[in-house]
Amino acid sequence: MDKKPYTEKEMARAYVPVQVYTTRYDLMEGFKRGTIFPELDKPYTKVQDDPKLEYNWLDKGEQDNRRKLLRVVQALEFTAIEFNLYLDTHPEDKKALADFNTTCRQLQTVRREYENRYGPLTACGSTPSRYPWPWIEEPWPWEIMG
Amino acid sequence: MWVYEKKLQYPVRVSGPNPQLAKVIITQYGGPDGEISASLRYLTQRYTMPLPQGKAVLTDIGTEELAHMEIVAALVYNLLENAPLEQIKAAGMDAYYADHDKALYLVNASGVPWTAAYVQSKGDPITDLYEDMAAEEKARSTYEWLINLSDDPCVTDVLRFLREREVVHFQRFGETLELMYEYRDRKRYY
Ligand SMILES: [Fe+2]
Repeated sequence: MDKKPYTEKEMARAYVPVQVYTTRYDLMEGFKRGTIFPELDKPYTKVQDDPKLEYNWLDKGEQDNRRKLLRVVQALEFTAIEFNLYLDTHPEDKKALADFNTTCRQLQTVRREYENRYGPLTACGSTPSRYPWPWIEEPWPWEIMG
Repeated sequence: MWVYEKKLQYPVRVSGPNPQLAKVIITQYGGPDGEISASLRYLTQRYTMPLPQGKAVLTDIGTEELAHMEIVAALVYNLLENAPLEQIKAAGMDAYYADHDKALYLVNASGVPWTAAYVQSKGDPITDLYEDMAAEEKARSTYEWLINLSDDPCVTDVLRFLREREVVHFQRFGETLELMYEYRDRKRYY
């Protein structure tokens, strides 16, 4: 953390305080908010104050099982990305590293479950493909209304 | 190399066709402060970034921006998909329609095509990091203006998520800047 008094600071440059990881939101909360770190959670006041707008569709509850499981994959992968970016600038943070590793293990399990049931998430995956080649199956990610 | 994942980083839904909204949101696809600009800026700058942490940050944020590009494209695609021609005309999207039908194209909100002039790669890693921090702030502001324009709560939810990512990215670039100054001073004194 940058705690240098003003007089020790160099002129003509910007300072950004360095984050120190202590706590995080739980899985779905972090995913919904767009960050797992409470100290980085700085929502736009306009959205924050409008209960109607917030997390619009997420609170409706997912009806179909594929989407429900996909949400867990997405949330775990999102958590992994958050730790990944944090660790890029804090490579020696052991707590963040341990939580990253836990997230990766959970993600592996859930991904495998999703891919077994609904088809591959990557073409060059770690598992052999069933017949016929399922990669071409719709919907593609942008075909969300179908 | 990169591996494609057949899913969005964050789910996208729209309440219905809305060419008026598509017309402005497309700026985060092919506009100056959009996701393609962001991704290509970071992925291009990383070659002359001397700091290991900085190489990782530029690579990983540059990659995440590609996922955001896909989210923005999914928004535009679905807002246009079933839009009747009358609605497209009323939204002033007829000029876009004449050139692209409902296809995705890299333009800003006024129809100006994407250009490499939107990004800089200066070779001075400190200068580049300031550009990146400014870029994240510009993207955050754009998402706020888009939220102000949005009349679809499903779309606003996605814009809100993308906006928060810019806040996190700003922080990581800021931390990289701190590390970069330390690195520069170490090199200067030893
Ligand atoms: Fe960003």
